[in-house]
Amino acid sequence: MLRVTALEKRFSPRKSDIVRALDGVSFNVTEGKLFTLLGASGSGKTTTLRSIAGLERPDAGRIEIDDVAVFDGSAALFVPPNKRDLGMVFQSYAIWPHMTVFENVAFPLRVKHRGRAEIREAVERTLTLMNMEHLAKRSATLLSGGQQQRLALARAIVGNPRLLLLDEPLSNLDAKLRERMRFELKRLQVETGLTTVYVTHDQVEALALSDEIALMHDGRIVQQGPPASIYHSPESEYVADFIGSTNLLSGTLREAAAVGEACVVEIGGSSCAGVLTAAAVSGAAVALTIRPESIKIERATRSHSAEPSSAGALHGTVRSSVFLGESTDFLVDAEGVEIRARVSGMKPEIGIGDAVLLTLPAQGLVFPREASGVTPAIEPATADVPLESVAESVL
Amino acid sequence: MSTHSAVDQAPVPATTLAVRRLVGATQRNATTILVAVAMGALILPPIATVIYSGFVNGNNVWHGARTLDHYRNVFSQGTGLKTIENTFIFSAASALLAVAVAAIVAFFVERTNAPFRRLVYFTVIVALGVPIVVEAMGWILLLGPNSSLVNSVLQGIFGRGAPQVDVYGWTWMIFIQATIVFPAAFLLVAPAFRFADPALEQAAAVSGAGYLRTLRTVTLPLVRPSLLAAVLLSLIVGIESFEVPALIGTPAHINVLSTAIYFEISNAVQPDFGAAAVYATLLMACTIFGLYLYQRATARAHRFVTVTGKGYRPDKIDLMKFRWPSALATLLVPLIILAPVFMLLWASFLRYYSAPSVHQVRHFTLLNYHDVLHSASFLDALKNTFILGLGAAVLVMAIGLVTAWGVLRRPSILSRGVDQLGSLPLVVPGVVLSLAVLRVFINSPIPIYDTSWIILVALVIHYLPWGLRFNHAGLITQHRELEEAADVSGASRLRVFVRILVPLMRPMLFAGGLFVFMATMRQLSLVIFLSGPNLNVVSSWIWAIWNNAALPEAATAAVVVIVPVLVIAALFYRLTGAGNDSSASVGFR
Ligand SMILES: Nc1ncnc2c1ncn2[C@@H]1O[C@H](COP(=O)(O)OP(=O)(O)OP(=O)(O)O)[C@@H](O)[C@H]1O
Ligand SMILES: [Mg+2]
Repeated sequence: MLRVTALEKRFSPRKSDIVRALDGVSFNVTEGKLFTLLGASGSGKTTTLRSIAGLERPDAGRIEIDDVAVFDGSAALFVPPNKRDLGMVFQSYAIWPHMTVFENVAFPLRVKHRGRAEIREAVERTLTLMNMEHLAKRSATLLSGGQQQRLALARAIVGNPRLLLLDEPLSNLDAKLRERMRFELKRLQVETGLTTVYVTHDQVEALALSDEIALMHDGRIVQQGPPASIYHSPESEYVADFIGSTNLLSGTLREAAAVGEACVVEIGGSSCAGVLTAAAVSGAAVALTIRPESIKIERATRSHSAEPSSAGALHGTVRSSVFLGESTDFLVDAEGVEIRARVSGMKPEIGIGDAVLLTLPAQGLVFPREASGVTPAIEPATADVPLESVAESVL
Repeated sequence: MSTHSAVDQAPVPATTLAVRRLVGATQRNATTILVAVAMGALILPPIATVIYSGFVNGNNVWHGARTLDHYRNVFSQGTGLKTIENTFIFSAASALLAVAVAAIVAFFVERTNAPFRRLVYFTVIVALGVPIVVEAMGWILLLGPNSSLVNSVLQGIFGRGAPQVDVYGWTWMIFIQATIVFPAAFLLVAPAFRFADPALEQAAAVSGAGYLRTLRTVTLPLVRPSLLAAVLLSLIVGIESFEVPALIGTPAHINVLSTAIYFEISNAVQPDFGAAAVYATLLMACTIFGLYLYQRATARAHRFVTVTGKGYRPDKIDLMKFRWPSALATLLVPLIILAPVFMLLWASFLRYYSAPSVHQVRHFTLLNYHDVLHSASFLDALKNTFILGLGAAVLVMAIGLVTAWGVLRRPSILSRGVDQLGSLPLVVPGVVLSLAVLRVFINSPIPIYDTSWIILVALVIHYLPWGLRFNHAGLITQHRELEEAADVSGASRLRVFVRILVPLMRPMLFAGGLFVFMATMRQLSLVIFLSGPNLNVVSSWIWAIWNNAALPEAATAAVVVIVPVLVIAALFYRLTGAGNDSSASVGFR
C-alpha cells in the first residue's frame, strides 16, 4: 500500500552544521494496517511522516502510495501534498480557529468540490463517529483538548483518504484521556479500515495500537516487527533499552558461544545464565537484559544468606520502592549493580533497607558490546527458535 | 526493500530529468518568483533611472549623452555642500529635540501615575495621520511674523515695542520639525521605559539611592540604546522631510536637499532634471548612511534592553503632590499636536483670516465649508485620496503577505532576495521617489503619466517595506501546521491563502492596512511631482491652494480631512491596543 524506499533527508540550518534527519529509511505498510514509527525525540519520525505527506521534500529515495510513486529522487518526481489524497493529524492539531467545527471538517470536501448535500451528510456521519455531532455549530476555539483531538481526526478521515498520517496525536492530552483516546483510535482504525502511519515516542502507545512497529534511531530504522517481537526479541541493546523498563546489566561472557546458545554472564560477584544474540568470545563485554517483571524478589532469610550466591541468584539491599497501583517497583543494590524488579498484585512486605534475594530468569538476552571490538558485527538473529521460546517464557 | 516494479525502474533520460527539476523548482517557488518579478519591475526602474539621469545631458534620459556636468555644477558654487550641511543641521537638531522631549514624556507616561496617560497615546496616533503640510500651516498661523496669534498676544501684553517672533528661520523650522517626528520618537522610546528591568531599579532604590539618582544611574543607561535608535530614526525622517523645509525654510532662504530637488524641477523656467537627480542621489546616500547607523544601533538595542518578559510591569512611581503638576508634561503632547490644528479650525470659520480674539467670534461663518465641500476639485482630491489610500493599503498588504510567506515558509536565496528588494524603498525619500516615478513614466510607453495610477505606483513602492514588516510580524506567530493541514486536505496554494491565511492574519492585515492608509493621507512629498491641476490628492490640493494664498479654503480643507483621520486613528488605537501593550511600536521596528 505504502512503500518507502531508501529515504534520505539532510537539514542544514546553518552552513557549518548538517543534520542527517533521515538516513536510508525503508519500510512497507500493508493495506488496512496500523504502522507505527517509534523513536526518541529527534530520531526522524516527523520528518518521515512529513515526507510521506509531501510537506517535506527528501533528498533521495522513493515513496509509493498504491503502487504509484509520489516521490522519486532519481526521477525528480514530486507530487505536492494537495494532490496526494491523504489525511493527517498534526501534533498541534492545527484546528482552524476562524471556522466552526462543521466547517473545519467540511474543508477537505469543499476543496474537492463535493455537493452540498454530500458534504453535510459526510460531515455529520464523521462527527457522529467521533461522538461530537452535538458540537457541529460550535466555534472550533471553544473545544477541550480531547475534543480538539477528535476534531482533528474527523477532519483527517472525512474525505476517506488513501492513507491516514498521525503525528503524536495523543501527546497533548492528560494521562487519563490519553488512555481512553488510545482505545478510541484503535476502534476507529479497525472500523474504518484506513491504512495508518502513526508516529509516537511513547512505547506503551506503540505496543498497544500497532500492527507493526518500526523503531527509529538517528534517522534509521533499527528494528521492525509486530509489537510482541519488538518487545520480547529486541535485536540490539538499544532496542532492548528503549522498549519497556529493562535492566541492562553489564558483565563479561564466561565462555565463547554461538548465536542463540545459552551462556553464562558474570555480573559483579555473581553470575547469571542467558541467551546469546550474537557470537562472542570468552571474556567479551556483554549486556544482559532482563525485564523487571521476570525477576523474583523475596526477603532474604538466614538460610539464604548462609548459602553462597548460586547462578541467577543475587543478594542485595532495597534502595527504594515505588508503588504503581497494579504493581510495585523495587530498586535493589546487588553488590554494586542496580537492578529494578517488579512485583505485580498486592504490595509485598518489603521495605527500604531490607536485605533481599533476587532470582533472575535464565533466558535474559545477552548482547555483546560492540565497543569491545571482540565480536565482529554479525547480522542479528531474527526470530530464532530460542528467542521465541524466551518470549513465551516471559509471558 | 528493492521491490520496485520494472516500469518504475526504467531510467529517466537526463534531459527529461532536468526539465522536471526546473518545472518542479518553478512550481514550488511560483509565488515568490511572481512577487520577485512584480517587485523588480516596480521598484528597480525608478531608482535606476533617477540615479542614471544625474549623469545624462538634457531632459530625455534615454537619448542624452553621458556627462559629469551636473555634479560639477552642483558642487562648484558650494551650493551642494551648503545644502548637505543644512540638511544635517536641520535633521540632527530636530531629532535631538524631539527625542529629548519624547523621553521625558515617556518617562511620565510609563513610569509614573501622571494624569492623562492614555490621552497621550491617542493623540500620538492621531498625529500619525494629520498631513504634515496641515500642521506646518497651523504653526505658521500661530508663529508667523505679522498678525499671528503669538505676536498678537505678545503685543497685547507688552504693547507696541513687544518682542516679535518670526516663524521663518532656523529656530522654528527645527522646532516644528521636532513636533512632527515627536509621535514616532515617542512610540519608539515608550516601550523601553515600560520594559526596562525594574529589578535593577529596585536594587538601586534598596541601596538607598533616591528617585532622581536611580533615574540617572540606572534607568537612563537602560533606555539609552532605544533613545539612540529614536534619534537616528528621527534623523532619517528629518533628512527626508519636505513639507517643513518647503513652507518654513524656503522663505528664510534655507535650502535642504529635498527642497533643492523640488525647486530644480518646479521653480526654474525649464526643469533641470539633471541637477534634481544629483540632489536626489545625494539625498539617498544620506538616507542610506542614516539607516545603516540605525540598523547597527537597533541590533545592539535589542541585545541590551529588550527585557520583554511578559506579565511584569515595573512599579509606577507615585508622584503624590507632584501628580497634577506633572500634567504639564503629559498635556504637552496634545497641546503640541492640537495647537496648529486649532489654528486651522479657527481660520476655517472666518472669511478673512485674523488672529484669534473674542471680537472675531461674531464674524464666524460656515461659508468656507460650503465652498470647499462644493468645490469639484476638492471633492475629486478627497475621492482620490481615499481610493488611492485604500488601493495602496490593499496592494501593499497583499504583496507583503505573499513575500513574508515566501521568506518564512519557503526560505531560499530567492525569497530572501525578494525581502531585501522590498525593503529597498526605505532608502528612497518621498521627494526622490516622486521624481523617480515621474522620470520613468514621463516618456514611457505605459500611459499612466498624469493619471492616478502613477500616484498609486509611488504609494505602493513607498509603503512596501511597511507591508513586509507587518506581515512578517503577523505570520511569524502563525503555526505553519495550520496551513499544512489545508495543503494535505487538498487545497491549492491560492485557496490556502484565501481561506486559511488571510482570515487567520486578519487583525494584523487590518492594522497594517489602516497604518498604510493613514500614512498615505498625510503624504505630500510623494505626490509632489505626480499631481497636477487635474490630478490631486487632499494634501497636494491644500498645498496648491496655500501657495495661491487662499488661506481660509486651505484651512477648511485641512479640517475636513482631519475628521476621517480621527476616526481611523481611533480604530487603529483600539486594534493595536496602543497604550496597553508594546504592539504600538510594531510599525517602527
Ligand atoms: N526544518 C528543520 N530544520 C533543521 N533541522 C530540522 C528541521 N526539521 C527537523 N530537523 C532535525 O531533524 C532531526 C529529526 O527531526 P524530527 O522532527 O523528524 O524528529 P522526531 O523524531 O519527530 O522528534 P520528536 O519526537 O521530538 O518530534 C532532528 O535532529 C531535528 O532537529
Ligand atoms: Mg516529531
